[in-house]
Amino acid sequence: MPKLKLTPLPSAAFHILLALADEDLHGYAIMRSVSTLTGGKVRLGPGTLYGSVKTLLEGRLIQEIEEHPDSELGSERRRYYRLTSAGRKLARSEAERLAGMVRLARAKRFLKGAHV
Amino acid sequence: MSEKIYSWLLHLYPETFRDEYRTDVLQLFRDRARAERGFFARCRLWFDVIVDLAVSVPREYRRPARPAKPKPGGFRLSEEDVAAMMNSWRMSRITLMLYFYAAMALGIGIGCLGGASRLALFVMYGLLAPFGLVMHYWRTGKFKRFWLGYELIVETDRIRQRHASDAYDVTVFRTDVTRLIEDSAGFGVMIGDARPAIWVPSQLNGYELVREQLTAWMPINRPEHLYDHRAFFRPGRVVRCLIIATYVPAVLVQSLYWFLPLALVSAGVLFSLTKRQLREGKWKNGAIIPLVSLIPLLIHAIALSRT
Repeated sequence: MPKLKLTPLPSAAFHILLALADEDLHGYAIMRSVSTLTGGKVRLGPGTLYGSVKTLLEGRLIQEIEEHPDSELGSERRRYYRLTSAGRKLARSEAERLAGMVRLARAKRFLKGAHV
Repeated sequence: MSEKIYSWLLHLYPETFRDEYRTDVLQLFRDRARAERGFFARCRLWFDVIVDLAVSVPREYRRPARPAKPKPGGFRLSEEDVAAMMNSWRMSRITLMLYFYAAMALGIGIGCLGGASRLALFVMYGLLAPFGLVMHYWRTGKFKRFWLGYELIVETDRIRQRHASDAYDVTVFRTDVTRLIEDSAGFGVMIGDARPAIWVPSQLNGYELVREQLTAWMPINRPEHLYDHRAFFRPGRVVRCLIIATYVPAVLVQSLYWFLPLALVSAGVLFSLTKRQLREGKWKNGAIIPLVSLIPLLIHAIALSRT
């Protein structure tokens, strides 16, 4: 039986959802945004990025929108992606799950300090 | 030159992925190559590309095939999220509690008539109650209030339901359908199990369309609740209820004639449960059930050894 691998949400997919939280982005902009958000620690390769995009599209967590002109990148063809409400909900639940794990790690004294 | 090499490397991906994303993947590589100039930056780009290929190519080959487009006469419905309330869950839990209290009343009655210890009686039922409830949880599965990424593909000879929230993907052929049942929350497609294999929530846009299509397969029933009573009263379930209802008097009467058949039935149930757990990979989480079912047997054996 074929299954979508969205539970738990893979790290790359979660990063993409976070990158799309504020604005619609195309592939390269998503990659740059993820790199910026993680301080350069995560650099999504083309195959990983579009593989995750495909999975998220199949799960209807993001949607492809009509291409729109991008002043920075000229007239090259771009596909833009937008976070759906289902994607936002799933990202929120994943964030809560991760926060719970951080709380647990803090309780077990793997982490120190008052804030995550 | 770099782009030509990378373009050639893209042949490693499955054809479906190449057809869909080749242009975008190449565009992304081009963007990075344009931004990351210099020897070290270019080395890092190629290192990333090689690692990316090693990780993503096998993953794309493992990816399940995309669902086929509906055949002529069929249609597809999809929603980002849909409420999947099933009224039957609450009803079935009440039914289970009624069985439990009936068994308790029977045990207490027999125990009182036999002049047995009430304390021991309550201890025994305290041990058996979790057994029944955990078994019920296993049969009904985890209740989902909302499904994300819900999709329904209805064709003339089959219906397929997918949703991303718990990676559900099931196809039911018209010839396999045993019943169609409906209540205010929606309707279910039954294939013999106690639960519907496919559940169409009434809040789904296009619900009436699906209903109309499936009514052509067979008439839709409106039972009191959606569980199939015939499936509920299967022999295995009846045997388990019998065990629950008769264990306590058996222990209290402390008769060898009670013990032997119960020991045999318990061993059979325990064996089937263990086998199913191993098959479904639930041994770790479900180990409590065989352990709980062993406790009354052990107590009984100890009680017998003292007589």
